[in-house]
Formats: sequence, structure tokens, C-alpha cells
Amino acid sequence: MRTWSAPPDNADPVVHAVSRESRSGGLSADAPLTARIFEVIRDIRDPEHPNTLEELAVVTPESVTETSRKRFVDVAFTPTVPHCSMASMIGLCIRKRVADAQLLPCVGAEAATEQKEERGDTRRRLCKLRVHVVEGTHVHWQEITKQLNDKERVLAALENGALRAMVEDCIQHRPPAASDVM
Amino acid sequence: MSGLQLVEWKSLVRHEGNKTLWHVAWSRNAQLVATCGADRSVAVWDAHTGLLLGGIGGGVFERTVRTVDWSAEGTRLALACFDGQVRIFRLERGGGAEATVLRADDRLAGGSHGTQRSVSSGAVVGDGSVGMEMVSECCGGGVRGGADEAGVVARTAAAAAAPIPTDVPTVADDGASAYQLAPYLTLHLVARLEGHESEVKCAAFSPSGTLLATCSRDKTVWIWECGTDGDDATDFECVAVLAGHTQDVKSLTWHPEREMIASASYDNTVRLWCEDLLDGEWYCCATLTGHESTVWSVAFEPLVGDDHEARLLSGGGDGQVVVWRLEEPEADAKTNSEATSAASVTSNASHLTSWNRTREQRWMVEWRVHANADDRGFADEEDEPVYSVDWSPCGRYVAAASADGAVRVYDANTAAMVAQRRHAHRGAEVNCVRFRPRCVVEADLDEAIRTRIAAEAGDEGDREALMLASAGDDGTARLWLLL
Repeated sequence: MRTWSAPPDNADPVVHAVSRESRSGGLSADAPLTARIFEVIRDIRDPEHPNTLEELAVVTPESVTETSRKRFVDVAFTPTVPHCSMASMIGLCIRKRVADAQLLPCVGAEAATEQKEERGDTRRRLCKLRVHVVEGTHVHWQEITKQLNDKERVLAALENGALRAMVEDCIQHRPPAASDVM
Repeated sequence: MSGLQLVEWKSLVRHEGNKTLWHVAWSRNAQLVATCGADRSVAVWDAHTGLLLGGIGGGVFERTVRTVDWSAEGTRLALACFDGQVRIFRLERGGGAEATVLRADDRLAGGSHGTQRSVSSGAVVGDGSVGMEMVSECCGGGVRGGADEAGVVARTAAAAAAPIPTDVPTVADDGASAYQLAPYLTLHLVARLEGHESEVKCAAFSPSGTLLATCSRDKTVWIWECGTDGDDATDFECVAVLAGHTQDVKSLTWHPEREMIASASYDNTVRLWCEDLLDGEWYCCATLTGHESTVWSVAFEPLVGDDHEARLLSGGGDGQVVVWRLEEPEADAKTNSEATSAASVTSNASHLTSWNRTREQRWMVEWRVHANADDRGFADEEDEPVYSVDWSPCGRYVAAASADGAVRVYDANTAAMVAQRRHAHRGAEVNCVRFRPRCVVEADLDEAIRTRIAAEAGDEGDREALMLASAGDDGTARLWLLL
């Protein structure tokens, strides 16, 4: 595991025990999209702690919601402390992980006919991811939310070698910590 | 006459796996189109045929190439790259060994269809016998619906083997083919401009060609002097670093006539920068607030008359398209009200030359629309960003490219939407829209276009058509006719 030179913001986080049984729901192919997305982000390791985002309650199954016309999937995460300096990193990890899992294609099929275009066939529209910090849970929740939803900023950040390496460290699929969770 | 519509004319595809294409730029004479994007390459296409002429890729750029711009004389390109540098390339005809060249007949890597055609795989050739509905898939389904597919292949292969002409691509005189395919192009690196501290978001030559403006996530706009069209890197010298924005500067655009720049920023404002005619110093002459989120793109109205100052168009993350107008200062307003119309033109002309630091500029919103106005009404599905805006060369229309996947065209004066094309890039976000720099699509350009224009125009005879180019997250650039 990478060691950080700066002390973590939260040296003593609250770690929740995660039930293994709750894992079965998200794996079936016909599970709802929100469940499938939660399934891939729950095990992202927090940048500062040897615990997953689920264990630290940074994300919960309720964190992932769909909008009324299924145009967006929203992931709302709660940093462990209001001044957490790794909040942006967590958001980047969530974005990268969902992109890697290819759960939300960003390109659809070629338009079949022009008539469908005129009707504004919303069923064919793609579903897109939005990531935000839960309101008020971070001192900079608005600024961080804005940059996590600026695709140019996100792209540039993930092109940065050092940031990319940190993101990869966090999202590499690994089983949660041993049964004696601290 | 029915409402206008956007009809897809060409699709420029390189098979790099759907990597986001960020920008598309027409050369000033509208013969060529350059594209660049997240696949870390820049490509130059023949705008008449859709043929891939050349480019730079293969690892020369280590980061995304965000924008590409043509110099006034059309022989140089300025590339803004996320590695913090601006690169100036010179275009040359012929295949050189020096630069990494993408040849039109390369079998492009990563093509998921695995077709081993050796014909110009980047070509989308408009075959007059099939009509406008044909969409050619380059490596995939082949030339779909092409009754004359063999003929198309033969024509492109023959042209590719033809001797390299020395002048700009022109229409063949003998009329045997509707267009003459241009030879391969090579790009030679002329200069690398360093200084920005983070990603460069935009680089644009001034209309006069003597200046280059660049902007970056480091919150600054830099002005560079370009020398004459030589090969010397010392031709480029930074003459101003403009600070003022409090966040990333996303993009900028030059005023059509003045040495003046509008910059769009993540800080939700547009700033206007002028060169003081007295002391030659650049300064911020106005800050435009009104967008509720990042301003992504700005464009000035082309000068079509002397009766008013060029208006400014902006598009932002709040999904709004806004047109701004300069408010006439009070002193001139009094003068104008006393004068006849002839005299007021004179006083306006003198107004054009007398901007300086002491005269405050005030800009007002003339009109604003929400790009996806017909989709609104759901509180949890807020407006999606407008990434790019542009003004038509005739001044009548403005276009907006949106994250909701649509390209829309509005009347520049009434703000009414005159045409939209949803799913312009297969549902992917559209990052850039640019009008072709010339209003009239040359009548002898292509049989297919002529036929289609005639069908739309009916009895109106020769009719102007506008053409737009767009670039999207599906990795393609597309050329559209507004008919």
C-alpha cells in the first residue's frame, strides 16, 4: 500500500461492518442500474484508509439514484470529514470505476431515421453519470461537485500520471479488509 | 418553404475507439478541416470529399490536443495541448519522413471491424448516384448503399496515385469528377510555445494573423506576436500575460476587426481584453456576468455592417446561449441623438477607433435561451452544458453544440430556434460546432449537394446553403448542411 507523507485528515474513521450477504443483490444481470453501479463503487478503497467507501459510509446503496426520466444517475458521496482533502480524489475514483465497468455507454447507435429525431425520442437518450458531494458534508462541497462534473477537468485530471496512479490504486478490485474490521 | 433542417453531409471518422473529439476547425478558405481530441492526435481532412489528408499522432502528443486553429494564410496550425504547450505546425504537401504522418491509405489501428481494405479508409465520398442519405462507414460496413462502390474505390485509388499538384485543391476543369482529391499533407513543427502552467485550453490566431492568443487552466490569457510566415521559432514572442479570471479560462475568440479578445471562464464570466491604442498595453475592458455556471465558449458577430458594434455570443454550463450587446456610452449617445443618420455613422466610426482605458464598456444581454428548452420542466434533470457556440459568416444565425447530444441553430436576431439535430453524434455529447467560413456552398461542389439544394429550394433557383462542422464524444466530426 502506498504511504502518504501527510497525515490523514481523519486518523480514526468510523468503520462499519459490511454484511457479505448484501452482496448478492447487485450481481444479477437484471438488477437495476443503480444497484449495479453501487456494486462497482462499494469496494473502492478510500485514498487514505485501508477501508472501502462502503465500510466508511462514504457511499451507501441509497447514494445511487436515478432521475425521473432516467437521464442521469446521481452518486452522492459523503467524505469522512468535512475538510477531507481527498474528496475530489474519491469522486474521480467513482467516475473512473463506473467508466471502466462500461455501465453507462457514452455513445449510442446510429440514428435509424430522421423521423425519430423529430419526435425527440427520449427513450433512446443515453444515461449519464453525475457525481456530487452530499450538501453540507464538506466545506468545499460546491466547488468539488462542480469540478467533478466538468468533463474537461475530469479528463485532464485522469491524464495526469500521478493522479491516475492514485486512482488506480484505489479502484483495483480487492476484497474488503479481513473479518476483524477495525 | 418548410422549416430549416440540419442534414448530415459527411462523417469524418478515424477508428481510435470512440475517443472524444474536442475540436473541429475550418481553414479560412473552407477547403480543409482540422480535428483534434483525446486520442492525442490532430488530423487534416479535405472538406469537399471527407478524405483524410494527413495528421500527427502516434505518441507525438502525450496529452489531449484540445483545439486546433488555422493561420490567416492557411499554411500553419496552432495546437493547444493539455501538456501546457502550444505547438505551431507548418503544412506541406507530400509525404515527408520527418513528421509522423497519417496517410489516407493506412490501415488504422484499433478498428473493431478488422476490415483490411487498402482504399482510403478515412474517406467518406459523396456518391451522386446514391444521394444524401448515404452514410459511409469507413472500415465497418464499407460504403453502404453505394451502387457504385467499385467506382468509388477505383476513383480514390487512382487519385491517390496521381502526381502531387502544387497548388491548392481545386475543382477539376474537365468535369469528369466533381472534385480533385488533394495529395497527402505533412505537418512540420515550427515552434513550441511554453509558459502556461497547466493545460492549454485554446489557441487562436487573430484575423490579421499577426497575433496568437492562448488560454489555460492557469487562469491567464497570453498574447503572442507571430512573425511573418516563416519557419523560425523566434517568430513567436509573448507580449502580454492577462490575469483577471479567477478560474480556468476555457476558450477565447478574436474580435473580427479590432485587437480584442473575449475569453470564457470556469469562473462563470466572460472577459473582454483590448489593446490600449495609446500605450499598447493590454487590459481587461469588460467583465460580463450573467451565466450561472462555467462559460464554455464565445464568438463574435462577424462584421456585416457599420451600424453597430459586433455583438458577442456565449454558451455555458447552465445550458444557456446568450447574445450580448455593447451599450453605447452616454457621451456618444447624446451626440448620436442630435445627428442625422449619416452623421451618426461617422460618429460611430470614430467611436470604433477611440477605445481606451478611460472609457468603460458596458455590455448587456440582448437575448438568452436555454438550449434544451423543450426538454425542461424536470427539476432533477437540469440543463446540460452548451460546450460550443458559433456565429454564421452571414450574421443571420448562431449555432450551439450541447451535452445533450444536439446541434441547434438559432436566428441571431429573434432568438428563435430554426433547426436542431438531436443525436447528432449518436447520442454522445457534442463538443464543438463551427460554421463553414463561406456562406455559399459552391454550386459546382458536388452533384449530390446541388440536387438536394435544388429539391429544397424549389422555384427559388440558386440558393445559399450554410454548412456546419461538429465534433463529438463519439470520436467523429460531421459536416452538416442547413437546408
